[in-house]
Amino acid sequence: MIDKKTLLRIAEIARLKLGEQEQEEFQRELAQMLEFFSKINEIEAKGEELYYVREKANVLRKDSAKKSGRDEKIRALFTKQEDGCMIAPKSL
Amino acid sequence: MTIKQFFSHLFEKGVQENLEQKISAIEKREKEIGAFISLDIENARRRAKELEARKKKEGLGRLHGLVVAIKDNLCVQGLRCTSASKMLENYVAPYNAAVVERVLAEDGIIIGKTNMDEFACGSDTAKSAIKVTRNPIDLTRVPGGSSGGSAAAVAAGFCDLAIGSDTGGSIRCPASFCGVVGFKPSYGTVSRYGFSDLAMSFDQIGPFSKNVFGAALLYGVLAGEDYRDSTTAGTEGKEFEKTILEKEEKKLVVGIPKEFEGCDEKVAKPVWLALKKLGEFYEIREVSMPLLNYAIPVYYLNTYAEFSSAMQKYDGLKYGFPWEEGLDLVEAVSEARNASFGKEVKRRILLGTYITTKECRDAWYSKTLRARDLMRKDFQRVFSEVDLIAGPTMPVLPWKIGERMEDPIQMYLADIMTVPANLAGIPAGSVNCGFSEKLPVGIQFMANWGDDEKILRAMKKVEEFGK
Repeated sequence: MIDKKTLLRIAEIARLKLGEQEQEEFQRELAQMLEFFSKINEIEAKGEELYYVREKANVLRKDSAKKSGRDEKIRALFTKQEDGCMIAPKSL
Repeated sequence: MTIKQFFSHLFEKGVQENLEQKISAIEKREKEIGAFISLDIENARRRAKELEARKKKEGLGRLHGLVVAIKDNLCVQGLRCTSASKMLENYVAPYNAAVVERVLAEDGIIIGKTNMDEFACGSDTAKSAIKVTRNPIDLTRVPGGSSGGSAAAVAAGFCDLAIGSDTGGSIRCPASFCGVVGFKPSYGTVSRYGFSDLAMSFDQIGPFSKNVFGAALLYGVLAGEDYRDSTTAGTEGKEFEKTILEKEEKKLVVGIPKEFEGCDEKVAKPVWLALKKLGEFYEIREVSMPLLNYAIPVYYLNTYAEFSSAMQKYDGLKYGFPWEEGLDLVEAVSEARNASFGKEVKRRILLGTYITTKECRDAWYSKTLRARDLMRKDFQRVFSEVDLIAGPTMPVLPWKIGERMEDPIQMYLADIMTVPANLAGIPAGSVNCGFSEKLPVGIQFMANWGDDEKILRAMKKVEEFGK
């Protein structure tokens, strides 16, 4: 059901750089799992609504800025940083 | 019955002595059980001293200095919050989760953070990237999961109460396996602010305790509206430990789905026995819910989609697994993610990504959303006839550590009894109803959305005639 090309495409979208062995394992496993899950095709659900968490109106709040007072704690978690800025790899 | 009877040690010996009792249990057995990822003994002692002093002057809040353990996917300011993943091994929470704020506001003492399956993906805590947790009742067996550390900590007497999260049974499964009480409240009654989500439309935070009283007490403290989690709008926490003691207005009706018949006989026996005794108080009748046969595929497909999306925030840049120099953005993020996530996490991300691609969305994702809505409606149909649905919490006894690791489908089938409640967003709880081969067996009750008290009451009945 999932060929290698498809697996590599979804791995790319999911931002996972799979190793060679993992590619083989996942290709086999995911196919088995989807076969098991295809059981849902037995359910007659045409015309049914899509599930939504709660039948409730939107909950709104004031769009106002507040100081969290946590800036330093959050910055301290950055994997790499310089002068209080987060460093990211080049994107272009 | 009052809190003084259920937590007598605390009231006889005081807050500090009660904490010391837990610490000495931890010193004795934590090495072999492995319930905690982080312990915070020093702060707990400081706080116990402060509460003891305050008790004499002005009295304490509803938790009276009870010792509470917190699952490691909930933020406790200043402590690591790993979700049992290498990705977050060094993440130190910069703030408190809403449930942690509430525990502290009612004078609970936080003792530490408990082990779990990585990002809550599992039913035995064996998928933790940090450590192994063993079942305190039988050290060769798993404690259940994903909140296995929380259940084990309560069972071993390392704390009075614990908090876990339940996306498809992650509170009820370990409660059943460790012989304690675990409760998953109605969806949207406990704020998830400060919680590392698995699947947003399923996740619910809830309590563990050795007795129903403690679970009801803690649930009442945790529940209620919080503007930071809009699903809680309009809800309120009550003193459930008191309201469930009030006289019942009518005889409750308990339905047993005939689809639950396929359980292991060793599990089924104590459960049917408990239901027979319960029949002296409640009316018991059989119901039929054929859609339950599809619960596993519908549950997993839905949660894969939400999980793959929830995991996108872990890129190794803002925090987490360090990225390598010399790579471009996509390569660096993809390598960091692949190197730090465990196999089950990757499996779920890949499947979730697949079923939500443009080509697969209609055949897979939309179909599961429609099927989920059908299941919710089916529960509503049954709850127009009965107050509660009962059956075993788990279809099998706790398995040996190392078993059920390789075949994901076998692994998922253990969740057959617990996932339906999360699919429908309804409350469910597990309480011990006996032992089989010296291993604990839990009975599960489900009720309609908002009928959490009916479950707590039924669990209390089982607890009472078990004595």
